[in-house]
Amino acid sequence: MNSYYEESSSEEFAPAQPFNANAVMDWAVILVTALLLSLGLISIYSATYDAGMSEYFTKQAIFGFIGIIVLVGVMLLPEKWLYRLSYLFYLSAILLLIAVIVIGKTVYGSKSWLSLGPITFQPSELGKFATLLAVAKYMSSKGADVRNIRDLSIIFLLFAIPIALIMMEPDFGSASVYATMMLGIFFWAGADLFFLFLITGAPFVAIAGFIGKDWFFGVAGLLTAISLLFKRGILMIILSASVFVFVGFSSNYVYSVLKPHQKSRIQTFLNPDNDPRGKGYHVIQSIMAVGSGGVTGKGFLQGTQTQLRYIPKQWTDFIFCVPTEEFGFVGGLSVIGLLGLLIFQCITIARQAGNVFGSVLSAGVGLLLFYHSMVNIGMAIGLFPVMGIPLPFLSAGGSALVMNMALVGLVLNVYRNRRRIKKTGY
Amino acid sequence: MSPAKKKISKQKEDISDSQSQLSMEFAFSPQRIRLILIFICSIYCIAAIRLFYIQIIKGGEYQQKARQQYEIVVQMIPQRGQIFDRNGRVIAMSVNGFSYALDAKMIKNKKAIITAFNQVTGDTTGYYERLIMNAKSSFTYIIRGMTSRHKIIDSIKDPGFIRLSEPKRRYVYGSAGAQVIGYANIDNIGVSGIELHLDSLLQGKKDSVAMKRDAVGNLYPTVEMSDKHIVKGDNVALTLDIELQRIAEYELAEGIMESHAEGGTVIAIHPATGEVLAMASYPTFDPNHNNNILPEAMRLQGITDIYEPGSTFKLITACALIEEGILKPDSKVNGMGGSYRIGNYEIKDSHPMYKMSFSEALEQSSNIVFAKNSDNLSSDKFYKYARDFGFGIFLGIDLPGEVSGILKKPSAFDASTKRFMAYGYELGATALQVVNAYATVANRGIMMRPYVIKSIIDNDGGTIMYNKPQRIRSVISNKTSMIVKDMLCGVVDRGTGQEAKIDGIRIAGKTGTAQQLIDGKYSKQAYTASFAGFFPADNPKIAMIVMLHRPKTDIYGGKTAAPIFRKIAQKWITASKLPINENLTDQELMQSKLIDSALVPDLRGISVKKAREMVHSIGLRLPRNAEGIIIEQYVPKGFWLKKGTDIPIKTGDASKKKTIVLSDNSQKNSPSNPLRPNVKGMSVRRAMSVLHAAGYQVRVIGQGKVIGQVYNKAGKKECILSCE
Repeated sequence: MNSYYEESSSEEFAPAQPFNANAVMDWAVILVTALLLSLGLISIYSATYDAGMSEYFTKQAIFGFIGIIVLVGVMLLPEKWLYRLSYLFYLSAILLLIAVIVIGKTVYGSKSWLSLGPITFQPSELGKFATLLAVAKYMSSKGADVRNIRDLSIIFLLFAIPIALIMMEPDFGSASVYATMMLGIFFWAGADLFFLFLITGAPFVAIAGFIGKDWFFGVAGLLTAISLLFKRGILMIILSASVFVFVGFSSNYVYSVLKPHQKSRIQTFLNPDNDPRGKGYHVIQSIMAVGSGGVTGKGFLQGTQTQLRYIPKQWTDFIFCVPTEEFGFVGGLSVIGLLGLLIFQCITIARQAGNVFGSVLSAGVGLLLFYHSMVNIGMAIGLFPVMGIPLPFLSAGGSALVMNMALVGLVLNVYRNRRRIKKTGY
Repeated sequence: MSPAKKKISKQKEDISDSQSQLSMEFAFSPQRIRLILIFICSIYCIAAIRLFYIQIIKGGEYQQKARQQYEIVVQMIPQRGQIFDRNGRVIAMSVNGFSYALDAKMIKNKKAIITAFNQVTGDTTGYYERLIMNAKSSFTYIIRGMTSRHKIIDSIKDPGFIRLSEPKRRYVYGSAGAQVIGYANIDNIGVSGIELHLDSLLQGKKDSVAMKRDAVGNLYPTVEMSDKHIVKGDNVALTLDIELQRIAEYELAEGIMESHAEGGTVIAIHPATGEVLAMASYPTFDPNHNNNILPEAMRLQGITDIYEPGSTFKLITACALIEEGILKPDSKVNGMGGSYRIGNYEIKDSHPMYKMSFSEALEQSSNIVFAKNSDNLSSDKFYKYARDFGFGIFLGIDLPGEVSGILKKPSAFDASTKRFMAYGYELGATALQVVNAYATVANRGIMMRPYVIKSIIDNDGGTIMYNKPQRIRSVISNKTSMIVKDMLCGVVDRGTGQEAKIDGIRIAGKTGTAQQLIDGKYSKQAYTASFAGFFPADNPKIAMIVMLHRPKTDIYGGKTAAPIFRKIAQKWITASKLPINENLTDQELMQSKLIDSALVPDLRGISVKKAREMVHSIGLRLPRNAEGIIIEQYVPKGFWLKKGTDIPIKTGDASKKKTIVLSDNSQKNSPSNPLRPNVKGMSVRRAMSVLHAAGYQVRVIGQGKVIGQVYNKAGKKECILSCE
């Protein structure tokens, strides 16, 4: 047993209680989720107020309601059902991802929507949930170890299949979510740090490669220098250096293969002011809206940039501008704080989980929410390139909202089951 | 094993697998958890710091940037003031005009727009095709100031198609008084006439207001707007009688057609006051269509052109001779048989006569008698009379472009000057100077300053300026004026002016036929034919001159100008029902029946449907496409409007949100004023109807008539009314 279990050992022998709501439900998670959901509805209301788009608000409210049902449902699902159905979920998600490529609806250049009767949804959202379950299940199987090259490869494959399919849509934003989740889980599960360092460093070298030669050499050099700190011997250092150089050079090739709108997104991120009415418009307008909010904001429905619709499609990817403009720094910090609290709770529950399955699930959910919020907020305030990644619970969008609610349900499920499992002594 | 137990053991098996993982050395280690938490925290800290930076440190800067983007300063062009005639009939008013433009960078379907405009305007010359296909800038006007909307244009849906509302000047009587009134262009700037002369007053107080502009270019009023006052232009009432003006223009044009003249002028003055009742010039123009106006059509020939008056000037000589006691009407004078040689010159008469009375000499317009008798007047005396009658000096009429004419100083007189001047040559006069001299005689020898601006009225109905009749000087005695008046009546009754005669009314007048000086020689082809006079002779209401420039069929004023004078007088007498018995007061003249005008009622707060019925019954109309509740009417109640004319109104509908659509470079353009109706003086019910239609919440303090109103300054659409 490691130190974590020693620390928490006192809990293990806590007297059993006949029924304690606190033992079953993590009220902090419930409260934070409810607050985020309300903030999202308020923001969508404001972003579409009196612009003939109020159906976004109504839709979001309906999906919020559906989401609550899904959340409760997932939370109350017996853990072993989840455990057993994991691969089935995964398989159906993969089939749906294949289906979307074949018969999907193209929106904004990506074939990411699937229509099943009256319901239209994004299989990539469902895939996040299913992949997480499948990976969690595999990792909790007997003898599975991410330091084992075979297990590592299988887990990698579990991620790689949906990533590849999503890349074919193409939806690089969603693909990056899976990739990040994979990295996080590897790290969480104890994968080799040097290995993680290599695959994390590579994208940075790639970005540096896009910017220019000087940047590329600088970043590659710096990362190689850092790799020295791992004290893995000369061979490993040469390996890392060559990986960086390879990535850097190939980034130019990759860039040339990218679709024009993807190229321009990278360009926009690097130089938003170059094309103020075009691709950079979003970023400039977004920062202006956020910045002009000041300390306490302009007041509900009083945000000039929001109300005068300077940020196109603000109710989806740029929803963060609404609370920050109308409620200022206070509003922005609240969103970040609430999301941070939720993610912290996910990690905490991952720690408390009595088994690998629950722990990986909970940590995965935390990572997913973290990545989504970080990229989305970063994009709105000019820290990240524009990627089509919505802000969890705030952005308008049914699939994403229901999926996020399901993920919270998953975490609550893990929480609900943590003690019982421990007490059974497994 | 019971099924339940089986279940538990199964669960045991599933989870025990995973349990084994937990003992591994690195997996799920607290160090890694700590690292992950630190990582997440630090990323969120970076986001928070960045948020702090852009919201708090740079917040002011971004606020300013944002303001620069959404705030747009718009020149609010106020409603231009109206121009009325002496009886309150609206001559010029501002109506809502519809202008359309395109943004070449946004336009999607040029073809559809070209087709629409060709269809609406009936243009087949390819004008719109050229215009639209060649447009490159982000703002190009397609058409400006259309007076009505068209379904075809309304149905255009193109992001590059821009709709604007611009006030458009409408001249109700078309060309009537065109030169006096002038015109204002689509930018609300007076170009000629009164529109130019009183431009600053008519324009109102322009103000630029900050408006909020959204990403698509829609404008919304801001809070600060309530503090700004866009003052409507003041209204101008003229002394013109638009009826007389129209009669004069019609008859002048007819007369010109008949005589094949090149141009002509009619001026009518009210002798007792100097008010100009009509002032017509031919050629003329329609100020509603002010493209390509000929310069001569815009000129007010009666005050800007000088001519040698010829025999009409004999009035001045006659007045001088009688006032000086040199001749009496019955004094015997010699006509020399129609030919009289002095030095190198031969003076001829068209009606050769020998012995006659002075009256007969005027009746027959004997040049010889006047030339000979002028010898009895000293140069200084003669000059003094001509000068006192207003020749060679500015009369000071309140219109731009007046000239003083030419009158030689006595020191510049040569041997023949006085003789020629005696029958109207060797001096340059304007038609206004001649008619004003006749008006002086009609007004018992007292000269009044002629004027056309009666008063300037602000929008609350208060008079800002009132032009009082202004006496210039007493030129001749009352007695002389009576004598001369009788002599002038003789001209019409028995002499050259018989064509001007109207049964039952005494008309005093004098014909004039003047050779025009062309290249230093008096032409035998080019004449100025004129007739000046006044009526009714015993209590003159109108002094009028009719002057024709180069008539061809007949050169004589008595044959060409006099009939025009008669026809105008006749029609006007009929139109105004001027009783032939002559004890008519000014008051009665003012109240003369307004034949084809109707009194505008108060329409504010009434639905268009109801108002339409109301105005139709009195012969007026409302704009075709209007609907909703009338918020504002641009011709206030109590004014007269020509029958068949649309009363310009602004409507609102409480259920619709109002925005003003503007283009990118809206600085240049003029949205109509924001809706802040003035409801003072209305009943509470009316006022509430108006304000509700304009989208305001209303709070009422008191009861009865509205005596004060305050708009909410915090930007809320609310208005507080205080009542009696």
